[in-house]
Amino acid sequence: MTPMTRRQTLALSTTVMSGFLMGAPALAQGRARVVIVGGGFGGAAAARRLRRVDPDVDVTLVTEAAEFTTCPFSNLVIAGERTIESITFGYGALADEGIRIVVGRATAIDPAARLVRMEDGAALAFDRLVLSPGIEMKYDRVPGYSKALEEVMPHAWKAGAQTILLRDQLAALPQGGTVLIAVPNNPYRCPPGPYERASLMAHALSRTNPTAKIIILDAKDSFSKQSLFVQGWEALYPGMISYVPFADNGGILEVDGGEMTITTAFETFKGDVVNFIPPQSAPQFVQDAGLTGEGEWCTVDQATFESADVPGVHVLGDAAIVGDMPKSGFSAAVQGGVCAHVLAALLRDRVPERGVLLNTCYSLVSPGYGISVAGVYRVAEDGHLKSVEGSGGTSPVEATPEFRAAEADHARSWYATLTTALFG
Amino acid sequence: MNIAPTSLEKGIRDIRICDTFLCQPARNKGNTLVLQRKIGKKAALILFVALGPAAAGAEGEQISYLSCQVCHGAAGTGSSIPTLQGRPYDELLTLLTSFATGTAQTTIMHRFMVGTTDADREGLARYISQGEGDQP
Repeated sequence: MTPMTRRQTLALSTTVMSGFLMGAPALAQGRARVVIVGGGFGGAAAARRLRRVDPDVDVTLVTEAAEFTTCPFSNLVIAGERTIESITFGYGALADEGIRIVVGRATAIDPAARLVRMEDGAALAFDRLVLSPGIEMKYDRVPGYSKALEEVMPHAWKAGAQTILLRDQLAALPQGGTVLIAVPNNPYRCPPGPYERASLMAHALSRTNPTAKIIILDAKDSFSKQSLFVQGWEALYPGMISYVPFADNGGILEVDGGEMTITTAFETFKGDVVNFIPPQSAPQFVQDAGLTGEGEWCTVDQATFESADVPGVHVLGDAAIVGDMPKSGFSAAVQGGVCAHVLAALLRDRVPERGVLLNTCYSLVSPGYGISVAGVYRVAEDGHLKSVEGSGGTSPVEATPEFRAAEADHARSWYATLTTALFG
Repeated sequence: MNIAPTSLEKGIRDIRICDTFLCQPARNKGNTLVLQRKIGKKAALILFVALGPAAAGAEGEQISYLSCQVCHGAAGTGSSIPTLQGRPYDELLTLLTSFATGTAQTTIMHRFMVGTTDADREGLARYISQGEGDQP
């Protein structure tokens, strides 16, 4: 048998799928169809929860790849502390539950016809659509930067091949070399992520390359858990990490992949490794469908995640602005679960119930030193998903090493529990 | 398309039967919900619908519990975060209240519980102690 190319396999799978959904009305009759685009934390959570809340709904999960590599814990891979395989998951458990997995790229949404159009020409019909498509890099915002340059200056802000590239570059850093990390302005995926990355790079370098330097060029003047990170850096990696806020760099004017330089308003920085994390937005096909209004992120009803611009389409996770919740895997997973309850209610003409939503972002300053920021969110009378006053917040600045170690353990437990629940 | 336009009790897992009958929930009997529909003036059709694991508990509590489950998994996994399964109502409520009032030492739970109401914590303790959320 001639092996099919990956593309042929994808085409076949989406064709079979759409044939079932669209060409066999008798089979679909009486069953509501929910299509979920995005195989990350939000999409997987929505799909699995919906199967449990209402087994009579046909659930299709559209995912760009047959496996999902998580951004959480990818900084441990870059630091050589974990394998890429240990943060990569398949969809077999979801398929076993009766969720239809379609591997392929969604390229357009037709809300009037209630169709998701796929790159291979197939179309998936839905009664309600959930989008949890994550982010897209904006390659055109900084002179000199381009998609091609991500192979030279990896962002590693979508985990997978980019993660491996940055890991290998870091391992090959010359003795005493310099790592540049360029961080975009808010909003972007995982607000504390760049600083955890600097931390874990420093952890790796402090053992193999102790005279190396890490310079963070930030497009903003402060960041999530800043005092906790800085305290950890001073304790664990004194002198290795330099933080240059916007006020001290004036913004990035140009990058040069040949020279490996980043030119800011005030100075040109040269790196042996350059981790350029570009600004981000909701993916283009989401913007093209009119889901982002005048902006670059989706505006949604913060209780139901239904688009403010396109009825019947729900958006959650990093691509949406969901009240005060940050763009995190934890938030997306919670939103996906809640959205499943919302869909089950709306498909039966019930008014969806509401609950309390939580988020936690754990960051590892080293593998044995964890810090966190927590949030409690509730839909207020004005419809805004608001952070509950007086709740949440960060780990204490004054804490024992045992406390930091416990939070590092909790970070690992959180990761194991969530990935098992979603993909196991 | 919409299915089963009913206001049936929350969490009914097998609702297909209601596509053809306008059901009224009569009483909850163990793991079975008894539904009846009057046909004509006197006759009553009684249907038994098996309830799935999501049956008990208000849906608002199920929704709130989703956030707990992100960290608190099943017992016996070696997690540093304790399981909530199998804990009685009184123990859970006492614990959650002590987090809310700041009398119990934790790394993170007090930051969550200060953002909850008495009713939130009672509802969660009830829902978790009933074991209905143990299904992953």
